[in-house]
Amino acid sequence: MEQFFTGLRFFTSNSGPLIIGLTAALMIALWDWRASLVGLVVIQLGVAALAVARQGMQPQWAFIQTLIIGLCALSMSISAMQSKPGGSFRQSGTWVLRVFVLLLLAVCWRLFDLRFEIPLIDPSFNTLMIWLATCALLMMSLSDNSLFTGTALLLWMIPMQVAIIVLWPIPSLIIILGGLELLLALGCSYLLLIENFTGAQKALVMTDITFPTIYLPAPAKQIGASFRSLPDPTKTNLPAVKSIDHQTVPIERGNRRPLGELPPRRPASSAGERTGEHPIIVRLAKRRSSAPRNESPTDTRDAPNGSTNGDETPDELT
Amino acid sequence: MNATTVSALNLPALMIGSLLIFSMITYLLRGLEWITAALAAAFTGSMAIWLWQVDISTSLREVPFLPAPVDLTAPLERFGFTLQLQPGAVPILTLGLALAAASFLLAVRSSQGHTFVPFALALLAAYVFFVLITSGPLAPALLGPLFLIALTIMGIFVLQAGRLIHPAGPLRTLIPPILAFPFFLIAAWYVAQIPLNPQDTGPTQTAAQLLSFGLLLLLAPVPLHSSMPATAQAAPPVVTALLTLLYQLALLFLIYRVFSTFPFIATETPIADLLTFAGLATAIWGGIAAAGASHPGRLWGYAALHEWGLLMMVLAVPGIRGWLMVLLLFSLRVVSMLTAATGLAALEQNSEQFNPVHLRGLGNRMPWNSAAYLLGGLGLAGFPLSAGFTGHWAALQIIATADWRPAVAVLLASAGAIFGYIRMARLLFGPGAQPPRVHENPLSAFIALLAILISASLALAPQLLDAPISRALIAFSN
Repeated sequence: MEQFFTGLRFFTSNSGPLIIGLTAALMIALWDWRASLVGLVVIQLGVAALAVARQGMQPQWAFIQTLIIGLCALSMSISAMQSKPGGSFRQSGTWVLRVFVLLLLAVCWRLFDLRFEIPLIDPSFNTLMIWLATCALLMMSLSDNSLFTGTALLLWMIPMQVAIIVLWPIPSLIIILGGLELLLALGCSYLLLIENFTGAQKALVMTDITFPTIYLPAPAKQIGASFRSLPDPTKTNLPAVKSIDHQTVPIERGNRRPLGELPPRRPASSAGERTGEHPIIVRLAKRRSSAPRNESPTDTRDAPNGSTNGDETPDELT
Repeated sequence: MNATTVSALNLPALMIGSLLIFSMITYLLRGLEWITAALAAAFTGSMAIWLWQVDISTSLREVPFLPAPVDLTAPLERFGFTLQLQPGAVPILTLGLALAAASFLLAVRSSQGHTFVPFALALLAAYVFFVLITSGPLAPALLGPLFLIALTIMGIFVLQAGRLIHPAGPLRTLIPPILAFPFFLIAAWYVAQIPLNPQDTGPTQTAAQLLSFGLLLLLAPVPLHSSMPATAQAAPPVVTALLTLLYQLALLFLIYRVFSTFPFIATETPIADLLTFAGLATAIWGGIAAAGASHPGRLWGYAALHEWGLLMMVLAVPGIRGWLMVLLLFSLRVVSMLTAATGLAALEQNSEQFNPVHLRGLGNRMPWNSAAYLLGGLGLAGFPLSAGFTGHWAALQIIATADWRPAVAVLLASAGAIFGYIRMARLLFGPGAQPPRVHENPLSAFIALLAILISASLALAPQLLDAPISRALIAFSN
């Protein structure tokens, strides 16, 4: 285990903290989910190598923490691969703005000489930890997306867990922290999948303090399109699996449509479209008018094309 | 050791185990939503009543349907933690269980998602674990934020409830506890240094500063507040009320623990001033934002935020008087929030998820539920003749004795929240054609009426809360 971390010698050199700090800054500047998750793992590796070399952390603990962050990144990347590339993934302004904010932060840090000394921590390592925590805060403030907020929260936890292992090397505490990180990644992955289903639409609320966001319409995407190694479903005998559009998701009781979205539109020829009345009123009126002709009001034998014309779909009835 | 002691059941194991088993059973039967909700309400409600009646000085207690007596004071040791029932924990546990029972009862009528009951029961078991901890690898007061993180992460699954909406609310709930926990654990190191050199005041000051900052982060004042209105806008109303109140109850308990374990915080840091400023900013922003909110859920969230700010200000009042006010305000907050959630849940189901077109005139079709929503919301703003009025008035009087200006600012902010509700009342009871399918079924109207009656009776006779609050206060001052 120790050999693994001694192999990461470039992190423990004098330029090691600089590399790790720049990785955190790059995560913000690039604002790409792949870069963020890879950056998170790189930072964890670097911090663990530094902690083993300079703080005397047990290599076993460092390895376990690295493994946990790796699992977290894997879990979130699986969800991200299922997600549509539009929506809140593209929020937080241009790269110029983010670089400018980073520069402003670095200048303020130097100018005001902001310090927070964590006991028993090497000064240069302490500076790195504060920089990582600051980058995490910046990422949180720029994002309202599950992936980037989750990444920022994990980035916040990486230096903190090192500090805690140094201050309190209690196995149960370290296990609790690791468990919380995994739980956090799981929760964020779940929210990321949910966000994917919403079609990345969100009402802009003027009293909300979130960073202003322009949500772009997300293009339809086949599930599995990101897995290039998989055979093309259209060229095999396997049935093509289309992504689940939010209008075709079976809506449970309690489910709702995305905010600001109107109910599913009826075909242009339907009565509701012409009269402007609510579809359910039109349907009820149609049932009433057809009831004397049919034995049961739910009888659809006289529906156009012999079908129910979508009138009895469960999502409308809910 | 006699035979009775050997066969007695361990209370922490019994409470946590039974809640988890019940959670698993209800998960298997989650399709039968109203049945599981009713059973869970009966189970948690009876547990709350039983716990409120127990005399902790008598160690063994018989419980109906159980083959052996329950040992009330027996500790449970697992994974380096010790769980034991303390007198101070009884009111917290009882209120938590009663809150859950009321929420399950409301879920019988209006669905809050298939998994609400099982997940909420599991979450309740975790809250019971949190409240019962008496010792661990570090002092329970310092480990508290770690448990709050776990509870918050578990809560996001319940809050989202499988709804296909942007998860801003649940996501933002994660931020304050995760930001706060390192301050507590670093403070723990400084606390451990204090006895090594009692003459050195440095560690005491640093620990006090870290703990104060950590507590402020946990309280999520402005600008960390945004999870509350976002959750109230998007999550099912009853779930929002339950999880918000459970979290805040656990947080108040943690604050009590921190203040009582580390009394030097009050002397070494200006925590009272910090709480007052943070609370004032929160209360003012809650009121201003409520005045401009047009979404019923968001309006409710801002009103709740306004009251939370006032509660923070009351936390700054030193001594037993402050805790008395905190308990009174929180009790009335529970009533107001659940009353509003009762009405809001019914309105949500009949307004195409608060589509403004469908909200217009909805109050004419659903008068009782609309009234419950408005009365509960106005209670959060401290409107006269609502449940929250007494608490607000008393809190403002206490704040004004120290400085009248914050009290006036809070009063003006309350006017903003009330203005928001007047706008909402005009929308709900104004002209607007509702489709014939929208109506208030008798059970729904009855539950709303019951909530209104409870709210109104507490508004007219707040002394009804005297006995429970006095008992809770005795436990808090132990």
